[in-house]
Amino acid sequence: MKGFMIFFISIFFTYSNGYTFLVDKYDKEIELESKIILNIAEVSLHEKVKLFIPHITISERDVYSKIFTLTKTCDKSNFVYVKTENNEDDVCTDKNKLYFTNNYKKLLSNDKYFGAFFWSKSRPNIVFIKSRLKREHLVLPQNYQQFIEDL
Amino acid sequence: MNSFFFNSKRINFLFLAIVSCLLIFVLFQTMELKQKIEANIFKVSTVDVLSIVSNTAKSLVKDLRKSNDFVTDIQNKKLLRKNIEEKLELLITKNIQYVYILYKDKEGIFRFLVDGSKAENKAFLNQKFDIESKVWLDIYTDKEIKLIKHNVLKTLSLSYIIPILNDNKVELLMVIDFSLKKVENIDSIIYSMQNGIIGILVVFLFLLVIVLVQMLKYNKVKKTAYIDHLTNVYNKNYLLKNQNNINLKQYSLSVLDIDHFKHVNDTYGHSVGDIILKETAQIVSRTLRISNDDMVIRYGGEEFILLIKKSDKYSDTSIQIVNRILKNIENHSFLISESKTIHITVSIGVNLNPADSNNLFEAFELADQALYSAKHNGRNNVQIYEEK
Repeated sequence: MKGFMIFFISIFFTYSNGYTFLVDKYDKEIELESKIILNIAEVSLHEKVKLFIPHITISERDVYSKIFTLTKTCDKSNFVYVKTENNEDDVCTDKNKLYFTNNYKKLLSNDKYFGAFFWSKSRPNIVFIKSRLKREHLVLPQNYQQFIEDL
Repeated sequence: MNSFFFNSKRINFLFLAIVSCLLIFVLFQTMELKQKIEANIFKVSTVDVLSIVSNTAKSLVKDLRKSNDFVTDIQNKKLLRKNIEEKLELLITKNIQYVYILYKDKEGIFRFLVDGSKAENKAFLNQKFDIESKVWLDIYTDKEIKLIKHNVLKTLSLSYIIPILNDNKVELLMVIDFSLKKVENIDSIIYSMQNGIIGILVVFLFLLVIVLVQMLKYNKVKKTAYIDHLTNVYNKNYLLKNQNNINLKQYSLSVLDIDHFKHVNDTYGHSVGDIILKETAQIVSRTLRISNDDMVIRYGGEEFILLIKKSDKYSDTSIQIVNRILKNIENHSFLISESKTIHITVSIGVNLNPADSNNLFEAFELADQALYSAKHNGRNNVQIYEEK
């Protein structure tokens, strides 16, 4: 009987990770965002994506690490996704990286970002700036053309 | 057992089937009703808002009536844009999350023209707006107000898109996005109604189960009242109860009596008598065609009534069956102890035309007369009643 109990408890604990959504703050929005960023990063880079997100949260790390190779510092990355609202543009300044943001204002005000994924009126929006794509020598596939803006 | 209980089972099954069909029907009707109610509540709860927004749209058209190009005018005239923005801001409530005006540029991309949202959510002039469905394009051809329900978007529930026409051409789109709260409120009303209906159905189902259980209990009681406990064949009560329901034209009526049964009881005891009765009833039941509505009734003591259904093809079927019963009993070894068996015989009186009598008991009397003859003729034989 004891063995039987230990067996069931060990099975329960083995799969308990699947039930943590009941206690963890798991955001579907982050999951959707991570998939979109993965698609964008993959069509922009022709090498393995090494993503750096400044001030990444624990829940973001959990979701992003499932599909990305995350770097702890900016210098080891080749794709930087800046999510913070405040002025964190100085965290990463290397020229040999692609910069993407989740803030439309940031995209407009700082020309190091070649595009943005952001929520407008509770809807997901993607914008790439044509001149910056050209500067980075990026050619996006046809299905991304609708998101390119000539600002 | 045959006809009577078989019929009551069939009635129960039919009753259950009808009630199940009714319940399924009610369930589907409830689902349909829920959808209708949902649509109506949406309509009723948004109709005023829609009228107000439509009126706002009309008032905008009035403001722009001298313009040939709404988009360019609003883009270029800051004061006009500010004026429209203030009008839109008035429409924002806790249920209406966003109100804004869009236009479609030459490349077919939707862009913000005026946004009534608060500063932190306000879109820039000419900011791109990614559409999520084809409905946004359809409005340019059918020029009618569209409703989009959002199933994926996290905070929005539904959007109304109102076309603003200039010279009968859709030039602007006024959009109102309802927050999830609106749908949650409506859903809570619908869920209350749904729960009420489900509650009624559950109570109905509960009552139905009680009725069914009572019916089954009643049938069980009825069965024990009409079945002889020892032989498991019908008893005299059954005959009394159903004497008027049995169509005598369809049957022959025979009376079977075990020969020297008193002697068996006196010699071997009542327990052996019970074995003889039980096994005799089993042999009779096996030989009869119970599925063909033949009946065997223990009339009393060692006497059984056999109602054998007549055959359209063969007139002597009944006689053949009673003779077979006689032989089967004669040939059967009744095991009365671990090592001892005995043989018994029966006498049978047959009334081939019980319908000629006034009732079943008069017909029985005639069969009983034939049985008396069989006893008189030395037992272990079949006698048929013949009218003198």
